[in-house]
Amino acid sequence: MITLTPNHQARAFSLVEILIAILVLGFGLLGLAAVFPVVVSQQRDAANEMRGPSAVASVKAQLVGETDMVDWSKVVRRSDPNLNPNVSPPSGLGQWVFDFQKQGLNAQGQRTVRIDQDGNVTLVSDGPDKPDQFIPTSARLFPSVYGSVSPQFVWDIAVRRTADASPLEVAIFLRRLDAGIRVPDGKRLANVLTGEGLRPGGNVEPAAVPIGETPEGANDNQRRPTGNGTGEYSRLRELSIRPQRAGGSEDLPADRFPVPGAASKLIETLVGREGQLLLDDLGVVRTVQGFESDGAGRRLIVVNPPFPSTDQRVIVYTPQTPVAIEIFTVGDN
Amino acid sequence: MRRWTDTTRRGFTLIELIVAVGAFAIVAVSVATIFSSVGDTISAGKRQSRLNQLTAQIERVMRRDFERMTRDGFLVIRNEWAINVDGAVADADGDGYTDRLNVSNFPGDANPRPRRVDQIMFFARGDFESARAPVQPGFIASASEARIWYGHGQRKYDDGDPLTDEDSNYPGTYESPRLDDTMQGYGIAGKAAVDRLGYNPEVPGLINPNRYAVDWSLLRHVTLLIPPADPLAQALPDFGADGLYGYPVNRSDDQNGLRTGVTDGEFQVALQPAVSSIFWAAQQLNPLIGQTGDPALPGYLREYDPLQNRTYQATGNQFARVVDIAYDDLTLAISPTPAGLPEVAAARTSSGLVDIATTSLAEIEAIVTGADFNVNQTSEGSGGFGIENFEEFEFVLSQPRSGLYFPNTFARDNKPWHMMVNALPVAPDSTASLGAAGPHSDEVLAETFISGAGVAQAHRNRTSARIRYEPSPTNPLAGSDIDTSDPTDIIRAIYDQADQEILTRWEFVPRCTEFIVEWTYGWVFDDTHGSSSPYYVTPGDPRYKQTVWFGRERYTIDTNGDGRIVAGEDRPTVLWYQPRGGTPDPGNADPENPNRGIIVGQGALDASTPPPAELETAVFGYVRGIPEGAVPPTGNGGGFSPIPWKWPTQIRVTMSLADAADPSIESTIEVIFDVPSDDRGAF
Repeated sequence: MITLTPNHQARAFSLVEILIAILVLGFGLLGLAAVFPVVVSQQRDAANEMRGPSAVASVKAQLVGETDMVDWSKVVRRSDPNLNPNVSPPSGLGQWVFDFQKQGLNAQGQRTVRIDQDGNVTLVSDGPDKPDQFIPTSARLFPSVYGSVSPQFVWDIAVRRTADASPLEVAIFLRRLDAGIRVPDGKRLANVLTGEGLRPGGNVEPAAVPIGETPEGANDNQRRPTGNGTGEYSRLRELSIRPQRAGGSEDLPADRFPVPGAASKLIETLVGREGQLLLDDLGVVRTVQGFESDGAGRRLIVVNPPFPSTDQRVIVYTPQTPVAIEIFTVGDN
Repeated sequence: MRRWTDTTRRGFTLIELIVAVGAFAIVAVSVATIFSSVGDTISAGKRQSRLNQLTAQIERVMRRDFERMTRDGFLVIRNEWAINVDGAVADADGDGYTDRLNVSNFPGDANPRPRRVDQIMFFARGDFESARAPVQPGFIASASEARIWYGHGQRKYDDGDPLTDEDSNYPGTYESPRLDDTMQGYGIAGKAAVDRLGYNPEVPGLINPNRYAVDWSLLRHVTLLIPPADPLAQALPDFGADGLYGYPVNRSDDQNGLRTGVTDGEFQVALQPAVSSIFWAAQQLNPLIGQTGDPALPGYLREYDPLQNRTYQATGNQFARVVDIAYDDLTLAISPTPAGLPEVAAARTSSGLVDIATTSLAEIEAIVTGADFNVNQTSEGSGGFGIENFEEFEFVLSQPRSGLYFPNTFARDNKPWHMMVNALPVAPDSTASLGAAGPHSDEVLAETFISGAGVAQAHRNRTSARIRYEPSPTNPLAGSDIDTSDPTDIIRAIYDQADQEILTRWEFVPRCTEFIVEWTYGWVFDDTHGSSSPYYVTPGDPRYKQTVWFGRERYTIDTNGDGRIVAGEDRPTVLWYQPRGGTPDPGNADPENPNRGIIVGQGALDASTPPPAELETAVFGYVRGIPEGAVPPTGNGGGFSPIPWKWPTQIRVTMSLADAADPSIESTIEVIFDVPSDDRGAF
């Protein structure tokens, strides 16, 4: 006869065990869910890469062609002695100018582009008989707010001359609109960004800026992208840097630089994120490859292509990585 | 004996089970949600990826075409709605558009909407090659000038039975495509326009292959412009000892022999079929029409081509099919004409089989500007522009007086405008009602011809005919049933196969559910315009500095805040063209503000407002200036004044694409193209 010895150790799962198991499973699923924002973000980046060159070409077509959007011939001449009596020879040639109100820029003779807190751009004219050219933010959206397709990008410009009489160079910075802009039911993004039709009966102020940053203080060190169209319009910024060679070796390219000590960790993050585009005063767009440490443990931002030398440079960048930067010359004006 | 003695073991309590099941249900729902999100994300990602690829491809091709645009030709932009049903239908859905415009995207579409099926046509310089499969390997037509056309194509109605005739005009044309297919209708009661875009034939048993927008495709059609050359001077490939599939062609006595037949001619280039003109009307001017009993045509057209100073060899009725055209001059004519084919067949670009026109940019310009000269003449007693005016071509060429100047009286009532519209590769037959359209009323040159061709009035109240295309061969076995010992059969099979193949070559963007082309002079809404100008706004207005786009009026944004976008209630965001001065300029004296009469024409089908028209056509012609030292001529009812024809600075293309897997999902892309500046140096 076979006698089965009862197994007193065998028992069912307890409720607590099941709940713990479910909890563990829940965490696992949450981890899985956490992948999606990354995937979506990468899809978005891929879409940017595909659409960016096309969109910036369309924007350029609007600026370069015979268009009344901007009359480049009326943009301030640096060499006009009536406008620049104290600047002879003009200083700062070669540097990109995008906001004469910015600290550190001499307004005299450099008043070419003005950007207000809502992102509206004014191109300063070269004479009292020519009015300044005002380009509101809502006119710098692409696709246009008055088309079939909701705006996806906003463009900004910086201008410069490399010599006193040289033609104006224009750099277009194209950025994707903040993804988190809230659009009320029944409205389109265009309504929110222009203020049109937000309420029955007429125009109101826009409900959001296309691309926002926190307005804390006046110091860039404290401003960070909001991602939802709130705050102030996120303007172009500049940064003085000094390139270095890897390990200080003269044989290696000057492809890295530290963020200056006065700048915050936040700025280092914004400038140094992989894929960030930096426009320098040589007129070259350099792509950030990432961070590396030097021998002293400092974080260096590595770019491609490398700088030609270790001379001090001024870079222009946007807090949000632009989709594309396009540079063109508007001819001798 | 087996005995369980485990008395301490017990099952779950009911509460435990309920709690566990509840917890599991929560987890299961979460899992389902997550996996649903996974599916959605993957689908969206795939869709986005496809769209990105397609967008990049579309833009690359189109941008290259636009960059090659030349003002030695002209530019025509045609805004057009697809039309659902005949007759006026009330605006039941309150969107401001008559419901005859509401086209379904797919069967069962609960939200049909108006859809634009625009066309754009221009001329370009570059290296172009025929899309037809060569008859003789290596013998391929190429050109440095071309007409480029973008627009929706039209598939042919198929009754499903290759042995019956879908079309009483063109028997068996679904399976056996014909060179002379106008795509304008079937000539059968109830089938008149069965295959127009978006059209619901409302006839039991008839299925329009172009009924639903998801089935539409955008075509890119390139017509090579190859002027007829001296046949005897043409370099021919080495046809080898056997000649062309058995026909010896490299004979020493080629001047009178077979070689002449394989050289290029008025209707043949590189052994491929060609039309003799890009003008729709002129394509019908096959001289052999006169031979087949159309007494309305003047006799000279049957015999004499003043442009080429050539006499047609009107030898009979062999112009029935490609192979006949190719070999008529060969004296290898397949004679008599194969049974069942009509006696007259003028090749048509609308057939989708032809991508060569034996003409040139110079000739086209001479024709258009010559038409201008003729308009104020009393020609052939017609009192208007008609076929007769082609008689004047010879004069135009010998005294290109009007071709150099742009008359200040130029308006739509002058005929070059119509000539240019007439150059669209399909018949612009929906302009039928232009004559009743108000201040810019006129008759349409094209319509004159179409009426003559017997197109019924009923055909015109629909989306205009399109170039034929097919997503796949309609008769894959075409040409397989041949006698391989018979050279005629072999050649016929080659043409048949080429016909089948080329119909599938024009499809540029499949599932293109809408195609909108708009243009701008680069003007923006601002305060530099006069206060009476429609473009005058002050800073603070949401429109300030927005580009002013022109085309058929369009509404894209809820501007009055009532939560709806309604034509006529909200402010249009695409405008009818008006000079920015705000004051009509009948003298057209300001070249920067051209009179709208020379730019656009509205065709009212309903003769009601709004909308006043289902279509609008914008035309940009030859830029003209007085050459240095030249004296502008006077006369011709008011004199000439050199005024350039201002072209748009940018063109905006908006197209919607339906997802392959789910047609209810449409993605819309918008691209802006720069129009190259004047390359003629006049202005």
